[in-house]
Amino acid sequence: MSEELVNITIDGHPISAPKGTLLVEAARQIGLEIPVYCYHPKMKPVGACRVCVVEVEGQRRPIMTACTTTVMPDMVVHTKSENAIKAREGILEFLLINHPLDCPVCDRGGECDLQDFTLRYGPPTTRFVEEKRHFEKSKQVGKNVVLDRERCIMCQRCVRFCDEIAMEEGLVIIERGNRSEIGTFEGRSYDSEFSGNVIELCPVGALTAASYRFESRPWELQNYAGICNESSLGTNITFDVRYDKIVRIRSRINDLLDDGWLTDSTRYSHLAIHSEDRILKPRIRNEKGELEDASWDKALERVVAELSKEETTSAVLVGSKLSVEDGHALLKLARGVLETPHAVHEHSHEQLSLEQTVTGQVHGCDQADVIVCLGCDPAKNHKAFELRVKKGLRARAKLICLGTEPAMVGYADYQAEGEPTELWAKLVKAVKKKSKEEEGGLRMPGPRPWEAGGATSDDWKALVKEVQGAGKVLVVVAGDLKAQGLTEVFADVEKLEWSSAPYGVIHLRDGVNSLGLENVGLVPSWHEELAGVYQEALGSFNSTEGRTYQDVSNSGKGVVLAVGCDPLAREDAKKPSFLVVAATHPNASTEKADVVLPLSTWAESNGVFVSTDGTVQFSRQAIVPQGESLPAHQIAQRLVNLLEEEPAELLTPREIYAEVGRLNPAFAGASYSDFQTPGQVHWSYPQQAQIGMPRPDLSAIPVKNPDNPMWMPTIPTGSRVEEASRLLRGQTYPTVPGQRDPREIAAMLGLTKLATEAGQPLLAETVSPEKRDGYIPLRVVPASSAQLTGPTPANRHHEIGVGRFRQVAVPTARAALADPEQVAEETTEEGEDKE
Amino acid sequence: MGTKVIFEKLGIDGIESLKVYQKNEGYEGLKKALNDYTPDELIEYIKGSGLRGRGGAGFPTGLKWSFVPKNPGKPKYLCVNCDESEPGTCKDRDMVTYLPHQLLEGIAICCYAVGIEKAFIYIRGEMLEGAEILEKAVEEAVKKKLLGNNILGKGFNLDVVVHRGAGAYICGEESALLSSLEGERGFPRLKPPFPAVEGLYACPTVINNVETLSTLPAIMRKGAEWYSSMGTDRSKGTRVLCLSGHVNKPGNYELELGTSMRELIEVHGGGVMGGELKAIIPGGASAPMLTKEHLDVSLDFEAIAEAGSMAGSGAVIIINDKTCIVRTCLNLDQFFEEESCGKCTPCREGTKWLVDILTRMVNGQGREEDIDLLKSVCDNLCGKSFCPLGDSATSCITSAFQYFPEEFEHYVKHGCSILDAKKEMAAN
Repeated sequence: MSEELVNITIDGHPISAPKGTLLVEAARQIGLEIPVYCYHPKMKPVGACRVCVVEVEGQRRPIMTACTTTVMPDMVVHTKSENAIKAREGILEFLLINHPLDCPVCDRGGECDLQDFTLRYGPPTTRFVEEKRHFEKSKQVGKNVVLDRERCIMCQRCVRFCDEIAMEEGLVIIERGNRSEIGTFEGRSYDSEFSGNVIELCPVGALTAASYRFESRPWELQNYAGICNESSLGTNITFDVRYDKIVRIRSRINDLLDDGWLTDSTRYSHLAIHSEDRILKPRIRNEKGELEDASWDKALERVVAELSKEETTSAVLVGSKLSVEDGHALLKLARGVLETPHAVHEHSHEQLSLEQTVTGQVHGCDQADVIVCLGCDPAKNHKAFELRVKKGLRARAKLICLGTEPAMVGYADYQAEGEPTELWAKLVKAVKKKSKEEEGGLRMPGPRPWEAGGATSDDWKALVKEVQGAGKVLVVVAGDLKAQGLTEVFADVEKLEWSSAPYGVIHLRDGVNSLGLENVGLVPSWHEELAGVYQEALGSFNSTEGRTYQDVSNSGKGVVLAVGCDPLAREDAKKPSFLVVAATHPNASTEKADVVLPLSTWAESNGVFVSTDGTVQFSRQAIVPQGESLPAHQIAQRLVNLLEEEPAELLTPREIYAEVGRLNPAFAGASYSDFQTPGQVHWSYPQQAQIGMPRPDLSAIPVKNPDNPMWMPTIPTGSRVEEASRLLRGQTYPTVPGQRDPREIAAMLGLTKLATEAGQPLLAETVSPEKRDGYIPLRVVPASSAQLTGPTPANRHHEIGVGRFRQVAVPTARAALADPEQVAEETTEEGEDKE
Repeated sequence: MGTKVIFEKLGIDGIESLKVYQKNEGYEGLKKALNDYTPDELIEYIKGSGLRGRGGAGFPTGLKWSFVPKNPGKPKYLCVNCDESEPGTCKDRDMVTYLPHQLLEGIAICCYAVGIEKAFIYIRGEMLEGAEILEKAVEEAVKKKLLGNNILGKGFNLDVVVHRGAGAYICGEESALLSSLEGERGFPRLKPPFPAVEGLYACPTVINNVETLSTLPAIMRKGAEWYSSMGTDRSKGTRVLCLSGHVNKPGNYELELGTSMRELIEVHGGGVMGGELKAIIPGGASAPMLTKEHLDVSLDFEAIAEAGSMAGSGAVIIINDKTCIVRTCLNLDQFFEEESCGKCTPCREGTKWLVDILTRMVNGQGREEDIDLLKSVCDNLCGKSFCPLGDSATSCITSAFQYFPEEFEHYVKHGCSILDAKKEMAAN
């Protein structure tokens, strides 16, 4: 898109927008809403629903759709002229005549675009007296997706998603005209790994998730910004929590990482958190060799007894799904207190050497000329990345797959079978001696492999030519590069001058937080220079080289503490003399463990995760730890307290992370204030993606936003409750939801004064982002109440935006064990005075 | 009868075969085009003839061709629109069935002018016979080097493919035709990009009607001047009019543009059958109705537009005074409801709603407010739909309200047609 600016007027507001901007986007720039159903910023405009009609002066057909019309010089657009209002009302009436209006039992009710736009722009009553169109109410179109055809408004977003974004056979339109319906090809089921996205895309309640049907109303949900714990891509998610249960996971658009799409394994990962087989109580193996329930005190006592035995070699194995805080606490336990060097994470074999710099980033796919999948197949092992590759293919990239097995079948422009190492060496050699002779004449670009008549080519010469002609090359490698013999790739790419971010090599890690845990130090070898720092800070620190994860799990000796991993899952693994397993769900190791500890999942604690391309992100705690489970950082600290003579106060994740920032140069200066937590993001309103810290330059993270000294973290606003209040007041939609001054929210709720937790009047500088995990507890003082002094029963406060539906019941026994900060938080969230 | 252009050779025994066609000046026009003109000169020549597209919009043909980029670096295509599905229209069928080589010759002339090497004839699925005749004709022509590689030894290649549609009215809309041809669902596409720049497979594409192309051989043979000497100032040449409905001699008549409606109906059509003239639909089901007051309107693009209707596909449907207009509207709109592709909201929901209301009226359950409702639904539909199909569905109702409002009023007041009431009165 050219940067040439075009001046237009919308409803009297002058706007400058780059040439080629759609009217609907131009209007959004100034916070003016033009309703849309079929339009979606990530997909091609179709102009099907017609609800975005506006009046453009001087046109042959004055009523035009804003989603298909681009800005033209001196265009004068009216969204509120008599003709535009009438046309929009007419379209909404058409959409509603066959709509069942079963909002009271519809999952979407309360967050439905059809409801919202009808309320704002629609006709007051219906003139339709005929029989409505009927279909069978629910139709299971896939194992996770349920369709209600009566509610469908045929915007085709779902069909277009399958076709344009996922580029696979999925949902289609059956029949035509008034009989049109969404469905699948006969006898097929829509079971794509990306199927959940169509549910989020659906502007009405036509496509619903099988797991969420009739589970909740949207205004009962609390939204928490989290990070996906299923892949290393760092996909941004939102936990929707009802009564301390995660009922659904939605996308939280981050254009740099996930582009707003989730895989189904991410979307339904909450089901495991609340599954019946969760381990919720500590268990100890008794004399009979059976596991029996025990108290935390008993279980930890037993573990400490084994660990304190003399002559014991102990090892700590860490699951790669754990957070940086968990990793650091476990590292301190192992190298600092147990003084054992054997503290490694599950995927530590993925570690790269210091010379190997990863410059490739996920979003590099978007503009790359060539994407080379070297010995890996995103379509098999990194589904979240597959969609990004496909986005690149649609934009401009040619896909080259080098490896023993054909990768990205049906999408690769070129494919060469053989040993990846050999193919790579051959390619590098060929590219280096750039052929001077240029073939004359125009080469007709043939259809791409996924188009009709297209096919994957195995023409090596053409492949080389394609790479030679490319400026932006993204080489994709995955997993253990040493085992694959691909360690040279980084140096080669640097020599070929491809390594300027976001291009170069992207290393797809199998471990979710592999990069984070590796930088925490959960790897066999430890840097000598760092040892001093740690020794000084922690008193003692073992910095010798430890055993690998495989070694430990195969050795069958010593006391092994496995947290969040399953060392006995390996076929050649042997049970050590004493095995302690902290796990969320039963696995091969818990079967044979001597002590089993209930571990919390990532959604039950705050934590920091580092994505495979080096984005550091904060995942917010969504629910209290289930049952008696505890997060790994707490288990580690409790053990430390029992092993050390002087018990210390338990550190919160915030404090642990700050300690990592103090001690570990890889995280130099890091603290929770680095994370601007995006608030409730409605997927149809994309906003500037939040960028975490890129790995090579850790100092570049702004603690405060320099552009906006008034910046403050988002206050969770109970999503739709706020929306509803705005609707009732007839206020227009805000330009960018999410980051908002709390005073603005207070005004919106009709409350004039705000106070801090301590009862001080709220000033910009009082709202320091340091206060809490991106969430400042604020007190709203109703306009009528007395002056702002200390909290009294008369001005009982509530936390802004923390809804009234949150039920908190922390058992006393557990409250003692739980994170003190957390308990405090829970109490405040309940809306009770602490004092 | 005057001079015939398209149907000049009609009636010659065996004219559908290449042999007979060639004996009767067949492919002479193509020879002349290839021998005497460069492609650019040819486009100018056709511009000079004043030929306008016969698909309905009446866009100047030469001008359309000149929009196609000269060296786009991609292939260019011609799509022949033979998806003749406008109710009342049956001219393409005759041209394909009886004069297939004339069409192929026209295709070759067009492709030479624009520099196209591949042409698709998108023929309506129901015209099985026509498709078979065309396929045979293509085969014959390729054998004689009139199509295929190195045509007439001039180094010009043209491959013609006959493609049968699957029976959707919407595929007569040019962008939906392209979608359908590509194997997609027959949905109309956004314009711009216009087909001349990005059409079939995102390549520059010319889309012409069968009649337009069938006119070309005669223009080449007899000259552009000869052609433009016929017709009116702005509508040159002749046009095939498909006369149907209540006339004594329905059929396809090729007449000079500018001929009056009266001449067509009374002289050629042998007068109105079974009663007096009530209404005329002058350009296929999409065109608003006219009445007997408009009998002296000439049948060219401008005059019909001035009278408040459109020349459209050239299908003239005659309605006599024994016909109930409300039922006529229902009949017409049932077609549009059936054929709506369902892509856009107003057309998908609006056509159905119109049919629902009209059905209720015809069943005697109309309410007085239905009159305003009908008008309002038409208003919400017209000009708001994605493609002109939505507008078309409203034109019969809007024009019927203009000329015969009393028929609707009678229906909602008395629950029966004004004609039935008159009949009853006569019987008593």
